[in-house]
Amino acid sequence: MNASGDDTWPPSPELLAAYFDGEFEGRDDLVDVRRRLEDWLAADPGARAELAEYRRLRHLWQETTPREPAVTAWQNLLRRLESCPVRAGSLSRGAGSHAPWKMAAVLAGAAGFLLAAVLLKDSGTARDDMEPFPVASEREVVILYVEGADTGTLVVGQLPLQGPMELVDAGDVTLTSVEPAQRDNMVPDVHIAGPGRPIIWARAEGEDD
Amino acid sequence: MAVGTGLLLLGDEQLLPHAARGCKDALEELFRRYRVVAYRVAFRFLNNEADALDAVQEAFIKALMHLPSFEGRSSFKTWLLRVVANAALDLGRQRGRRETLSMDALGRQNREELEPFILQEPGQDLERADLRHKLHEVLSRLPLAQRQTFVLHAEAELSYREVAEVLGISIGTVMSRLYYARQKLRALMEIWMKQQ
Repeated sequence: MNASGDDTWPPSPELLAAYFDGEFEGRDDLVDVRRRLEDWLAADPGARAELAEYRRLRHLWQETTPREPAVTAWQNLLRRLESCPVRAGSLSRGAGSHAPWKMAAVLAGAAGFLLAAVLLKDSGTARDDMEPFPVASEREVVILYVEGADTGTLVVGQLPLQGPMELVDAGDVTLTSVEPAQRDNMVPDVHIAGPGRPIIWARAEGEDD
Repeated sequence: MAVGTGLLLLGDEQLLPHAARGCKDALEELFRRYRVVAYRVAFRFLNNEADALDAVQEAFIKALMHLPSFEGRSSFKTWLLRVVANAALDLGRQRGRRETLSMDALGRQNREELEPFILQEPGQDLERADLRHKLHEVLSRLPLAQRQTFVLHAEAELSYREVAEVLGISIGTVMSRLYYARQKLRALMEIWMKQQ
């Protein structure tokens, strides 16, 4: 059924969800779309049922809003933040309740930041004022594990990884086999031309889906 | 205007320089403003108070570390929530590996005996905790990108534009992810929701 005579009727279900989320509120440029959606809702029980399902899901979500931690938990957390000297540019060894683990996590974050800085630099999008945070040198960081399956990245290289991390150019990496290598039954055989280029991260297609 | 007198009236952009210089009052005010939303977002990824608090702490520390490089291109809230989401996901991965190891050690039978006692909360909160646990299970089955998008929108109540800003994606992608996330959540929760 085409309630408006428009060939594109009905609107896409994503638009209905956006309408439900209030994305059309106060948007003068979307008045026509909003009117079409409201016409659709008035005419189509299926669309109304869809909206009702959204409401149920929202209600369910709100019903399960986590309880706020006790006041003392907030106070302890704030105290740890206040005692953390990171604002002075150095890392705290005692910032958290699991200090050694925290330190490792912060270092891992710093390593990620270093990597991101290298990637941005090489992709030509880095700003002049973005420099790697000087937490550790490349020789002090060993990457033991890379979560590749859900990061939208293609990881090529052999772990553990230590040393400079650079983007490689097309042709620098040859994937010899996608089968697990015999030596560790894990990492596929990869040939990387030239020294000092042990890893490549490239955004994989379909990352958004 | 002196910090410490009328902090409530100051906007984030006015508090941030003070916090970056180590002003505890400014830090406390920023913490007060965003601790709850940060905690809720982290909790949705981790389903555990202690871990969520750890993620919030981690996120605030990282945010403070990088305050000098914050240029205000996005709001502090969206910037912080990106850090929170990443911290929570990182923690979740680490926790997942730890749990896998410990559960393997426990053995399947013991695990089944233990699960009904996990996440118990007193009184009326018990049912809610059970519901939350189920929702968390369902949520964790969504692809990471959809889960992240849905939590930022549904829990932090960010607009599509803000979610797009946080995740560095287009508004169209936000729309698409939210739509498919809802479809999957509905499908997975269908039987259970009908009982409500």
